[in-house]
Order: sequence, then C-alpha cells, then structure tokens
Amino acid sequence: MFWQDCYFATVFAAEESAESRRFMFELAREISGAIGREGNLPETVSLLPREDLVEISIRYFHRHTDLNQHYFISDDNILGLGPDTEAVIANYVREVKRSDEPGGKRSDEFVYLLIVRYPDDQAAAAAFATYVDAFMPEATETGIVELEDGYWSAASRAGSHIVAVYDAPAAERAREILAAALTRTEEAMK
Amino acid sequence: MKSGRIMTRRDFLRGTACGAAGLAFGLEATSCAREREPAVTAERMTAPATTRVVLVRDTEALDAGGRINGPVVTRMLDDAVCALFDSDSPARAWQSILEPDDILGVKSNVWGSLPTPPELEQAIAARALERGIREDEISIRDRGILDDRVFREATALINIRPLRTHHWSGIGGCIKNYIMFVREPWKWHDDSCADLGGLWNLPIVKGKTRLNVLVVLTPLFYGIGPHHFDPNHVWPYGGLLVGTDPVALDALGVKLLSARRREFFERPPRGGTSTKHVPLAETRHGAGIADLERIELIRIGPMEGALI
Repeated sequence: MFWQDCYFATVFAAEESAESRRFMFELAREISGAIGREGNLPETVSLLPREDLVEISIRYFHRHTDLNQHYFISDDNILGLGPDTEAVIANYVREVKRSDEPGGKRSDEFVYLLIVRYPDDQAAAAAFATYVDAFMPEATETGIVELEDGYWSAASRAGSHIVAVYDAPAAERAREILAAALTRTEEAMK
Repeated sequence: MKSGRIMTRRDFLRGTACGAAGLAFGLEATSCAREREPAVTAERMTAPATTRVVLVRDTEALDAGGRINGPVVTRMLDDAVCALFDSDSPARAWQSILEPDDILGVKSNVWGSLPTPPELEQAIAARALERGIREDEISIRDRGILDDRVFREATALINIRPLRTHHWSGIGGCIKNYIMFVREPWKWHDDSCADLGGLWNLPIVKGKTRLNVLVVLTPLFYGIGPHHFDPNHVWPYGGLLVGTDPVALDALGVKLLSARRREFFERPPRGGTSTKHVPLAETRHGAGIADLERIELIRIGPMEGALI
C-alpha cells in the first residue's frame, strides 16, 4: 500500500505467491506512474513531535471507525470525527526490551498520540467536552487519568485541535508527549 | 452519535461492557452492541439458550516438526462429534449430522500460510461417504464455491478452517469463512467487517450448516497488516473446536487468541482490528451465541495450557 498526491492505493492478492507478489509490485508501479505527481503530507501529520516517533506507525484518517481500526476508544463517535475533521495517530517508543530467551516475552512500550484538527475552535471545544465527559470524567480539571489497566491517558485542547495520549506507562511520560504535541500544535496555529 | 449508553475502552478494561469481557484482543475488540442492538431476527427470538462446543486436544496431534498426524486428528474429530451429539460411536454421531441423500459442500480455507489441513478434509469426506453420500455429491473447496454445482445445490454444509488473526476482521474464524459465498467479498469489509454474521442468512447458506470445525492445531495469534504470518506467532496448541454454532466457536477463538497474547507478550500490543463481528453475529444477525456464559464447553484430552 502507498499514498501519493491525494491518493491512497492498496494492492493485495487473495493468494500470496512469488508471482502474485511480483505482479502486485508491478501494478503498484503502474498506478504510481499514472498518478504522476508526488504531493505533500497533510499538515496535521507535521504536528507530530519527532522524538521517539515510529514513522511507519503514522495513520491519517477522518472517521471514528478508522480510529477504532487502529486504537479502540469508543463505539460511539465521542470525538466528533467525520469528513470535516482531520486526524493523525502514531506510536512513540522510547525503549524496546527483549528477553534473551528464544521466542521469549518482549516489552514494547508503545504510546499512542492522537491529534485531531476541527474546522474551528468552537467545534473542537464541543468535541473536547463530549470526549472528557465520556472517556475521562474524573479528569475534567487535570486532563490526565490512570486507566483501569495501569496505563495513563492525557488530553488537552489547543484552539481548533484536540491532542490525546494513550497507553503511557507513567503519568510523566503522558505529560511529556502531550506537552511536546501541544507545543508543535500551538506553534503551527500562530 | 447514537443514543443510549456510551461504551468506551474503559468499559472493556473494567469488564463491564456487554457482559462480553474476554471477547477482545486485549480489549480493543468487541462491540457493546449487545446492550443496544435490538433483537431483530426471528432466529434470535427462537435461538437456543445455550450451545455446546467441544474442545479436543491431543499431544500427538503434531509431531516434533510441527507436521499434522493424520490418524490422530481424525480420531480427535471422531471424539469431538461423539461428545457433541452424545453418541457412543462416530458412525452414530454422523447420523445426527448428515443424511445419505445430502448434497454436501465442505467449506475449507486455502490461505497459504495456514490452510485447512487436508487430513481433516479427508476425514470428513470419509465419514460422509460412510454415511452413504455419493462421492459426486461431495465437494471440498474454498475459492470458486459459487461456481461449484455441489455448493450451489447443497443441502448440507460443513465449515472447517484454522483460527488466525485477520487484518480486516480481527480474527479469521468460522463466521468469516463463508465470505466466499458472495461474489464481492470486499463489500463486507467495512467497519472491521462488522456484518459478517449476515453471510449466514444468505439463502445459499441459511440453515444448511450441520457442523463447524475451528482448527486450533497451530493458531496464529498476532500479526500486522494483510497476509501477515510469522512462525513466531503460532504455537502448537494441538486442538480442535467443534460445534454446530459458528459464533460460539469464534467467541472461544477470540478468547483463546487473547489469552495467548497475554501469555506471550509481557504487555500485549494494543493495536489490532476489532473482532466485534463476533458479538454482532449474535445480536444483529442471529447467527449464533457469542455470550461465553451461554456456551457449554466440553473438554476432551489434556488441558494443560488450554487457556480457555
């Protein structure tokens, strides 16, 4: 799969073989050539802090069903996502520990950062209120909460954007990533 | 936004969502549909209160090299159907499954990395022949079933496939295995394949499936992206899940893969596609029972490391 200009392309074969693999790449090159132009990444993607960012984990989308494909938050659209919003989610990994044991357990500290851009400040404020009420009602004041699995989640609004962190192993880590994202977002809005 | 109580990730963490805790990879899997979705189908209204599933395991099912031991898995299938139908012999059990004049389609799965074992396909065919079904009235296949006379005219179906994670639907299990009964499978991929249970209400399928076998000899419990397969993410479980209810088998399959992920990973990866099509197959499509509390699980063989 790849994106190019304003297109997202995914090519897959029902059955994988050397021949189908070769053909898929050939077809992808054909599609790429037909699109021609390269295009730029959506602006929202540039709001992601670079430190510890896992580049291949970046996902850009619009709908809440797409968000749930990558990270389940709620069956309901509590962030008010839709065609008028742009969202990006990505992983941050500071440390990866692997057991020396063959096939042994591993500990990948994946933290998720979600940034949503709304059409205006008012829409973002309304969505943020709904989100906090549904997802972290005890954190109305603090914006940070330890979830039932021991991981931390934090969220804040910056103008027309909502920034949220999930699966942080500690409150400090959640605050750190949230602050980095808010700084970039606020700079971008100036 | 839908009306009614909002269910979030935190409800699943607390285990309070829909009474379906465990129907999830970690927690990101299932839907809270059970509490909100109206029971819309006649099948749902008349659905049995419980369903029986047999888990049969054998330490000899796989050899040291991971190859399938044909005679052993054949015996496992026999033991499972006997327990499922309260029969004292496989022949009697198969009398509860098939009639001599049935036209039988055996829906298997050809996915290259983890196909339906031919040994089990042959075991089913042998039992069907013993039951008196004519050889030319039996077809075993995955792709192209809509162009297969036997499948088009089938009076009986048997559904058999291995359990694995799946990029679009969370798991590839019994429910999803019927996607080849439509000409345009990709039209069922929306929203994490939420409505796969609807396949079981198609006229070509409805009411015909006599037996489902979810092969858990070497289940695949983790992967990222389409066509993922990593030998590090399968394990020699050596089992079969056998029942008449595809939804119940898949619900147990989700539970098994979730348990294995928790066992294998110190902290199970949080990403992954929702498996909500499993509970929705019950609540939205009346295709079976996803509620683990209503599944009677009969265990045969060694249960060390069974996880469910």
